[in-house]
Amino acid sequence: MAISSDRDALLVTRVRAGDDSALAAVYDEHADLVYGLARRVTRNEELARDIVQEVFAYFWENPDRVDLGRGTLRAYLSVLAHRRAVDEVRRYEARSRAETASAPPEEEDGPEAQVVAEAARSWRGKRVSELLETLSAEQREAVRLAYYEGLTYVQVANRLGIPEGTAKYRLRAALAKLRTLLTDEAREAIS
Amino acid sequence: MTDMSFDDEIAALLAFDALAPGEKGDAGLPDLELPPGLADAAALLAEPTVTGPPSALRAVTLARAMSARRPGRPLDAAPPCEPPVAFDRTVADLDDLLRSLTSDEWNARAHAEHGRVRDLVAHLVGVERLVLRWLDPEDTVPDLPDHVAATRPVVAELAGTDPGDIARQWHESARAVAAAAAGDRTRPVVFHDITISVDQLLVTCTGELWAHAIDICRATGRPLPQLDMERMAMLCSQLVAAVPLALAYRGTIAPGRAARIVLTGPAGGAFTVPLAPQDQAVEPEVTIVTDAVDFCQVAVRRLRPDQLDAAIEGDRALGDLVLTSIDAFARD
Repeated sequence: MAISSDRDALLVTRVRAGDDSALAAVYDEHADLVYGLARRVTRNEELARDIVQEVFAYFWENPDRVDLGRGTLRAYLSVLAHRRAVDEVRRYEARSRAETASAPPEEEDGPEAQVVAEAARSWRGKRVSELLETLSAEQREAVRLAYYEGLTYVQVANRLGIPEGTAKYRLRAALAKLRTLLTDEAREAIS
Repeated sequence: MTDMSFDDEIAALLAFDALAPGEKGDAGLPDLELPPGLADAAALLAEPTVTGPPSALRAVTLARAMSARRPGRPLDAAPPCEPPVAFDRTVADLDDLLRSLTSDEWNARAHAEHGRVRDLVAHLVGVERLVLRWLDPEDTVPDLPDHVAATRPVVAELAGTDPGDIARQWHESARAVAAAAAGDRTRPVVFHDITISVDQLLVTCTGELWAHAIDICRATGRPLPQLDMERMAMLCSQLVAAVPLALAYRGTIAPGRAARIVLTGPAGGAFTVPLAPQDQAVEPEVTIVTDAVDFCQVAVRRLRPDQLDAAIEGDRALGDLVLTSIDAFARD
């Protein structure tokens, strides 16, 4: 096996070999980003701390999942962190919905509801709303169901009474458009 | 409408992105489809606004990871076998190889000092006889620091012997060594000019048999012999553990210093080794990353340290010192 001199590749190789000091080095380089992303999405410090632990434990247990041909280790960890954060938001959202349905109306919102509310506020930001307006009505409705209600492709299809393939197509097309717009804006912001 | 920064918008849309690829929900972490452009942009945008994690989180995170997967061994770790098992298997492999040789191949030149394949195997007969004497606590072996010279009388004795008979004699001697090594394998035995344990002697013998099998295969144009990963894992752990002694043998110890050796592949692992006997491992000043099988080939002198594909981080000179010491106990 050729030993790569690329820093990311070397760190992943070391982690695969069981080198705990390599994991510590990865943590030192990327924990700020992982924690920052998790905290931004969840709006909750405790959840963010849990997500940091999950992300690095997952990487330690599954270094073979990292494909450095498709992005940097930093990008991989950021996506991993983000997905875990979204999972948390969705979990709390679902729990909150269940609690809202069963709780007396006078009961105050708990911390989970606050997390959901903060995340929803984030989503309803001005620029995002403007970008959503660029989508077709059908795409926008599919996005709304997927994001606001956390539905899967299958559930979106059922709700809209359309074939699964159509729901998948609408969501993918919407995502592709949003991704293009945002990536362009991100590049401008960076430059 | 809330006052939202651009990176918050990115974060929100990444949240949507996470919902899109599948219907796996919270079942677990999915295989990731990296969206490189977006992820890199998000990462870059996030940096200026990131709030650092609490300092105590580092130790908690690393401890949690270590409890999920023990450090020190690779993901697909092969369990190391015991030295007697490694010796037995290597004897069996070489026996198979020798049985397959043609008369022309027996006469092929295989080694710079020993010469033809038949002479090399005669040398091994001499080695096994010597090892049997070392393993016998009642025997008093004269000082024989030169490994090649020590077996020359046997090579001369077998000069006119049929190669098949040389092979048979070697196999019988090797089986006798295996039997003599049974019992307390921690007991000290002489090995040329040093004293080692029976296990260490078997490791050294295994390494020499493998090295000479490589010589024979090279001489006869055959594929190079591979040890199974259990044997490789055993060799790796023994070789790394012997680094302080190897440095001492070479007179190049580095007291109070340590090296991190990371060997890749199923036989490998990650080891922190002190660079002087009796020392405790301290914070490593160098990290050496290399392939486990290549590392073992250096140890049996079938690959030169300068031919080794290794990444060395930290004190380069210290790394070179370690790599040039690992063949200290190899004998040809």
